Amino acid sequence: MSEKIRVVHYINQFFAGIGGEDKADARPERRAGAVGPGRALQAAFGQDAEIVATILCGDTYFNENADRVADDLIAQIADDKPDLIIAGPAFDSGRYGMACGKICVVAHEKLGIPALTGVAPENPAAEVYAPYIYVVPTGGTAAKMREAVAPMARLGLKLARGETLGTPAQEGYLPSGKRRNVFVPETAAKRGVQMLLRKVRGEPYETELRVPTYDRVTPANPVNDLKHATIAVGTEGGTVPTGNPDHIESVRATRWQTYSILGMDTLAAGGYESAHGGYDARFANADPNRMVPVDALRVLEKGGAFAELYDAFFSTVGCGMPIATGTEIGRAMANRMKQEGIEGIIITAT
Amino acid sequence: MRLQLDTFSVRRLEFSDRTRLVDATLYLNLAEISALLTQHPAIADVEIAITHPGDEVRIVHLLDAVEPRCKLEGRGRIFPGVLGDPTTVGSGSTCRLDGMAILTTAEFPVPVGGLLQAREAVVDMSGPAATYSIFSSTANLVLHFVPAPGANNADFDSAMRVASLRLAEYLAQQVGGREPDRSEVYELTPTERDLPRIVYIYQAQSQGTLADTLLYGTQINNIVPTLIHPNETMDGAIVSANFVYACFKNPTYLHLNNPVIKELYAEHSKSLDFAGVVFYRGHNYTQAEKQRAANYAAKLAEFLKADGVVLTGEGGGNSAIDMMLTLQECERIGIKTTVITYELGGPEGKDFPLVDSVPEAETIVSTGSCDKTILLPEIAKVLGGVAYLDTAQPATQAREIMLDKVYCSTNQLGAGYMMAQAY
Repeated sequence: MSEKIRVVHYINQFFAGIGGEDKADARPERRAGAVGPGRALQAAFGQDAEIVATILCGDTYFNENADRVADDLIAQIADDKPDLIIAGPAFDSGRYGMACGKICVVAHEKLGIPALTGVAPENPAAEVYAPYIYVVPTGGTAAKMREAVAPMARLGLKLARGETLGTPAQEGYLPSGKRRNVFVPETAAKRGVQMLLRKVRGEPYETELRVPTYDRVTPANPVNDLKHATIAVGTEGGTVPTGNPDHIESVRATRWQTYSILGMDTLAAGGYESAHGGYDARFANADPNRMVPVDALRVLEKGGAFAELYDAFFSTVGCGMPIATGTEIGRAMANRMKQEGIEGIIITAT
Repeated sequence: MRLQLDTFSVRRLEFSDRTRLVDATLYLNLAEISALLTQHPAIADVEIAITHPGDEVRIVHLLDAVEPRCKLEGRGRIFPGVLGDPTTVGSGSTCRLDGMAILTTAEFPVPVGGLLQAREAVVDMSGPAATYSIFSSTANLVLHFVPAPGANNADFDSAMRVASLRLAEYLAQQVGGREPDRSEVYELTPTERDLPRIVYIYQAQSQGTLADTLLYGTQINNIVPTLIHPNETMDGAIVSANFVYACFKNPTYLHLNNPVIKELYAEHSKSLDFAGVVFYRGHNYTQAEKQRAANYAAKLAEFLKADGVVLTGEGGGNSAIDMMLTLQECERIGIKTTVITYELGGPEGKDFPLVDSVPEAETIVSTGSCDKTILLPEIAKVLGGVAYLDTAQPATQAREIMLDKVYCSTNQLGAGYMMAQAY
């Protein structure tokens, strides 16, 4: 018979029997064996696992000293050689939930063991920690203890044994917000035809991807006084000096740059090229003004359409760029424009 | 249109003095094949190699994959428009060699930047990466073409295509006419029961040299969405000339063996009425052109009295917009539509999985995320080239690689078994 899985359990001062809110500053400690709800958890494990130690702390003390307390407690259980850490369940208790999440993250990082907690879906800890550790949804109060510990024990055993997990719905944990690749028995073509037939027949179907919702960008207000404004030009079309000296990536770019156009009436052919990996760049390379229209803007500037063309253009490559990166680059560019007193920008896109 | 498809199974390839098929081993006369492949002046030389599933072999610089086929009876020649006149095909009988692929590899003579370049495409014949490509499980005849001095990319590309398709025809011709291992008949017979009418909307990429698709030998950049009989695709009416991204490009092999068409035929008269195929170009340039193509494709599905549509695309973000607009228009006119798509999402799977989407996209089939990385182990032998195109490191070396460089890893025609899921 294989050895029992060694589990360390985290609970707060209330479930440890120390006291309620008045004892929320209880200091961290380690006790041998199962304590309080650990006994229900132990019962759910049966002979497959053993709670070798319980660590505990007051909710207020933990949250006010989270990094230090978590490091200290995890150091104390290293000698217990746990295969798994379980925290809670914390139900709808916010501070307890946050402590459970934190201790799990630190245990996973420092000891390399799987970690899971149980909290109510509306507990803020659910949203904060589901991306990093396994969070089993529970009821709102300790009256739901038995219903909570059974799925926690089941998932904990699977994790400790290194079994491949099914979907969050199948395994009873909250989705992390991340997606992974898996292999399934049917081809995508077969799944597609079958899914369509279910939809056409009015039967229940399950999409493999729910359509994400994107932020809507509200266009900025028009420039108040264009005749006296400094206007810039920028592009996501990847226009860079020939040779791409700043190594802006052709796909999934993480970089952006400004390039001087001081004293230039036009972008000289041959002086620039497109670093972009997502469109036919022949025309943009033959005449870089067709991507960054410096020639036309100089004519407008001389004609007094606006006061001044800013003396550099902004450039990056918008190709396969994750929205998070795009948002970050957009913010950085906008900050630069504000610092430089730019009141409007024409951005060309491919 | 009625097409009989005679299938001969091939499990092994071996060089020999005479080209023939014996007990699922295809013997190949190297000199004969080599002569066939080097007729065009843009081709200086071709290196020919054989590899099988389980070999410690990595294939790089993959351009296209082709299944050997030839016409036995009926009008036209296989790959019409490329190998001969654009005679309408899809009737009579056709011979195919199942279980093998002709894989073309090369480096193009003239370096190009931007979109219109052949990017690295890798297949491992064994090890952890072999699960990601359908061509890890075929017996492969790997052709490495060497351009003649002074040849330009377009001529070299065209010459390789004609040579490899001609070889595909030639190999099938050496086998066809005998008793096949199995034989199927494809015909859109009227269904007796009242079954849902399903149309396949089949989008292909066309952006220019090295990023194109041919319909009866001609680039599709100027077509409006059009109708095609599914049997025509089995006779090579659609040929790939697209080498842009390994995970996105739909090889000629899969245009011949389109997995959606195969599924719809398999269910025809059983659970559905396969009402036809609408073929169109993705990567339209402007929003208006995209909307026009979407509207036209949906309208043709409506003319075919479709109750439902399966929609597939080819390419990255640009193509996704065309797909979503088409889906939206189909749903708007009351045709339920399922789209098969790759996902992005970043290496950790945290970012947005789709470049574009519409609220009507209620049934999406995922072919997995191409943003994930896998480890290619060190490997004994490399075919198709020497160094990875993107890093220039020797291709025998281990490297972490994104699935977008693994050939057909997230194939949008639905050939694979991968999907992405929340966890």
